[in-house]
Amino acid sequence: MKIGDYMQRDFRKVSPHTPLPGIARAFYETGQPALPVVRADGSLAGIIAIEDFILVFLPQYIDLVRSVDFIRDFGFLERTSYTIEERLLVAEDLMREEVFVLEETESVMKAAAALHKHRLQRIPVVGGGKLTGMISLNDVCRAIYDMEGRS
Amino acid sequence: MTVGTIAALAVFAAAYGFIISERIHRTKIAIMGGVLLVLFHVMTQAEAFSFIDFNTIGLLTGMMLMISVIKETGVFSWVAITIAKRTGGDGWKILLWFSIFTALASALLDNVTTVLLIAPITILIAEMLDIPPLPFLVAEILASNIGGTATLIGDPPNILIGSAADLSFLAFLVHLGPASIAVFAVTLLALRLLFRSRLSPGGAERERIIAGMDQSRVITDPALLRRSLIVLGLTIAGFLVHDLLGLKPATVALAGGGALLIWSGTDIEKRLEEIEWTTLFFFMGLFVLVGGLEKAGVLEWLAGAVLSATSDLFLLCMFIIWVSAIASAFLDNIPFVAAMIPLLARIGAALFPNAQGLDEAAYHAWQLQKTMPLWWSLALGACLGGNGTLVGASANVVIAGFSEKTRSPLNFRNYFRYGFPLMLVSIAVASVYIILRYLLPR
Repeated sequence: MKIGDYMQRDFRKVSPHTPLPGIARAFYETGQPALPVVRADGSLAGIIAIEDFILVFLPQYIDLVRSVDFIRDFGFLERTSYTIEERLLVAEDLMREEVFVLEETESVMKAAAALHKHRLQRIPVVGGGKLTGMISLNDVCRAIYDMEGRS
Repeated sequence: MTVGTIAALAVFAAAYGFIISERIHRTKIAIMGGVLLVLFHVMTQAEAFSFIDFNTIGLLTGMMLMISVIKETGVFSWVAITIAKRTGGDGWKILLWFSIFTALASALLDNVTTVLLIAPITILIAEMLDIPPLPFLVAEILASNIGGTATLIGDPPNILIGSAADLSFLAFLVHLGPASIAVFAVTLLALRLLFRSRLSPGGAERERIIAGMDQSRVITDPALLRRSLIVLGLTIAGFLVHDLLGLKPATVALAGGGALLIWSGTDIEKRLEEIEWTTLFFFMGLFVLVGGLEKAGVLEWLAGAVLSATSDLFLLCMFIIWVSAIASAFLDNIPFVAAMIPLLARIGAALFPNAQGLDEAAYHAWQLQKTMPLWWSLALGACLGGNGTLVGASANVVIAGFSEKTRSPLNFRNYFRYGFPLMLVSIAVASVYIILRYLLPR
């Protein structure tokens, strides 16, 4: 069972120059937990995790307190416009560049092991130096069904 | 000079050099330095162990055990939120009361734990009010070091001095308490002048958000909180009377720590993990290193050199307080104080010999009375000196770390602008206190 047979080929990607509103929209429209950032030649530049994206809008000092349950009104974190720094941010600035990738020709169970070991939601799959798909635990489940469920 | 003296001096100088350079962790150096003295036959293993002051180690351990439980209770956040709500979001009042709370907590617990617990909630509240957190953080650094000066258990130099000179908890409170209050009052006044204009919140909306916080949510385990506060209260009561009961401070601290371990039903593995082993082993190694100097006769020679320069108590006190302050502003004050203690003990013995033929106990008490100004000068200089720079005390470094996550991070330069002049003022106030209370002829 090859990864290439089970991975998702239809998914949203962004370019390294996509600004914040474009990234937010790609996340909410697709429900994807991560967005691959792909260069013009189709190669993978990096990946933006939705958690990293949200952190742009959460001040760092939130990390310092153990809990925020005692705050009833979070109005102080709401704003109606992006700051100048945020207007300048693009996908390239938010993505993780060192990304674990898999080859289409590798076994689905390698994807399962890697997803589990690295605690990832999705792993980009490459073929011929280009991003060709994304594989998640759901895709692994489909492979397991093919393996056992049909018999 | 014998081979032993040379070896002791060489190991000591090398160890202090490495500790000051901060290239290798100070605890590694202290352990290795202590071991080298035994390896080179400067002292036997049994002698090395006998130099370790287990009263200091026990006191630190007992307090660490209690603190590791109190940390979990959320009481610091509770106090901070209550203060913020009561003051109605008034920036200056928040700074004032947070500083007072930090000073009180630092006097009873260790400074690092205090700031570890108070600084994050301070930053959050300042940001919620749209006030830059920097003034609050500077105030808390100063308050933690000033508060720690007031008691035997407030700051490691005091623990060392109290243990070595046999000064009680009550003695520290009675002698250093008034000095700390005076220094604190002057510091608060200076903070008001420096920061008042920068502390207005960002509007009524922000104040409403502060008023809406629910401090009951931060107390995760009310039963644990009650038990920890009862044990802490009893321990402090125990400290106040330890001398009367004929008990050492370490016994009181370990009693508190032990009682809370059992009563709180906490996991022992977790509590022991929270013990700061690096600190404890640093002290143990340091005691052996300083013991090496003592054994090699270096301290006697040094005491002789100081006394040949002056034997005037006034000059000695002023020299000790100012040198300790400047040294502690830039260097770790613990090894400095550890080396100063046996030196001062020798100077004290030479200045006030047993001329009247008193018996040992009576002479000891009389000499302690006479040498007290020296010890208080060392304590005030070393503890308050920590306020001089951002690296002057561990609490400063912790707060600087937190401030990285704010809009106005602290760095060596922007802290120095406030910290160093205020430290000099505090030492001036403390010097006047020493002169008025101990050195004026009566």
